[in-house]
Amino acid sequence: MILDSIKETSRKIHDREISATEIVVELINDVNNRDHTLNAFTSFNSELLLDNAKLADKQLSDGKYSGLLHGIPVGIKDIINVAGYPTRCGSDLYSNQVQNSDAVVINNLRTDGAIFAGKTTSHELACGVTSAPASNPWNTNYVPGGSSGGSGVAVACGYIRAALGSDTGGSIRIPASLCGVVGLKPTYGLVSTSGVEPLSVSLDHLGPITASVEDCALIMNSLVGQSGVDYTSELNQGIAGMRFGVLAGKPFSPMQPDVQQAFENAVDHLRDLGATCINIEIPELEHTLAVEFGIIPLEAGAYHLNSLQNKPGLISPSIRTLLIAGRVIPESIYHRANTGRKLIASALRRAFEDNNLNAVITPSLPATAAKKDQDEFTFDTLSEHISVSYVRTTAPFNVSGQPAISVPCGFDSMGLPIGLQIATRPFDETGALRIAHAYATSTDWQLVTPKIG
Amino acid sequence: MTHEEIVEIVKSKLKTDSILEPGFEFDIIAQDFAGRIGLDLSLNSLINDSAIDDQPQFDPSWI
Repeated sequence: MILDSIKETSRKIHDREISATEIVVELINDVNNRDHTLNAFTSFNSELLLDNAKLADKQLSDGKYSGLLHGIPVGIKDIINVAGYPTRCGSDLYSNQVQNSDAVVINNLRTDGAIFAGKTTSHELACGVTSAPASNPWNTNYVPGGSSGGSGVAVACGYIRAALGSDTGGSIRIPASLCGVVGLKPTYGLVSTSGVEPLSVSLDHLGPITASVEDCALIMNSLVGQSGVDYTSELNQGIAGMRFGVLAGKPFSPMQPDVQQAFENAVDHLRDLGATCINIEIPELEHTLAVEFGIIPLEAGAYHLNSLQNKPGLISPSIRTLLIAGRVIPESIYHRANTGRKLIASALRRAFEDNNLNAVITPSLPATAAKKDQDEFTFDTLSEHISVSYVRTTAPFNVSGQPAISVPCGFDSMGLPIGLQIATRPFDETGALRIAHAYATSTDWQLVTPKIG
Repeated sequence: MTHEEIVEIVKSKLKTDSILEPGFEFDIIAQDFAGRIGLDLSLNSLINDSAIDDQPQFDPSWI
């Protein structure tokens, strides 16, 4: 299914060139035809979706236009409560009981007229990077990333233009990068997580995964609610005169040669667009994983203690090991990790201030999609578990809390997507979107769509 | 600390938490625990070696 942008679809719905019902009927057919292979959705209620589309059309006929998202279907990661759907978190711990209330972000989207396409596949308890049984639409033998893998797949394969994900160590940007779409982790706390199952409350973020940067900005307008900020306002202002710090040392290296080449090409392109790109080093970032993994197990282990006590057999061994680690490792590590977190945030702030930066630029990930049965990447002499590889480039900005967006910037020799990460100052999502839009609209990467699936 | 000592620490802590599933893979858990002690060394290095000497003032834009 080839979809227009949200803005164009919205115009067509508003001008009655197409109805929400027509869009949804096509979506249902597409999902029925393809999702047995892709598994983007874990709950897909055709009847409810159709009812909501018909209601959107009736409201429009009655003169009740809700806004730019009126009648637009959005996919929702299955850790976010949506009335009418169960919240399963990719886990046998959770029942099929249908939720009777919405998370705050769902209420915001609903107020703006969005309808909900279904619940997208999450890695178990939002704690992993593979999101089985979802498949990468560029090659179904490869993982789509995680933990918001289903959201990445649903957007990349063209079911929908937008979905929501969560990001504790990279779970929006990882599937966005591996699936060749756009993913924004906003500033910590900017988007409400009320009504969302947590993994690690001090690192959890919610944000959009979309087919374009403009779509992303429009979804942000709704997610943030009545903030008065228009995230589309600077999209077309270009980046001439901006200053970017290029981070390519540890923990962003080592990286696959194809990724390195695509990243260098992207930096050159940003220069061509008028930005100044300078190489910078922030040694503190090398310790990001010690901070990240010093916080997540203790917070997740505390949240899931009751399940560990009463239903441990319903948690897969690898996740159970992490949760148990959170009960066993000394609390002093957690406190020291939080000290380290402040140092990393300070080091990033210092880098921005000392170099007068608008953003730092990194590869989103050091590697493209792993095969489904692959446990490790090998970079020269270094062998590394795939989850460590993926998280080491994204987690710095969970730890610092600042916004970071991934946009497509190329393909490897296997035809798998590569992402470019842009991180700006806290609450400068507008700047991140502006830079990403300038890059994306002056390259063809986001126009290429998967041919399989 | 030996592997066996770590296993005993894990078992003791789980008992304290009333997590009493007998089928747990204690060896794997102990290996994971040992790996996390390695992360603490990295935290030491970060905290002791960082050139950043300004502990952040309260600044809502840099948590």
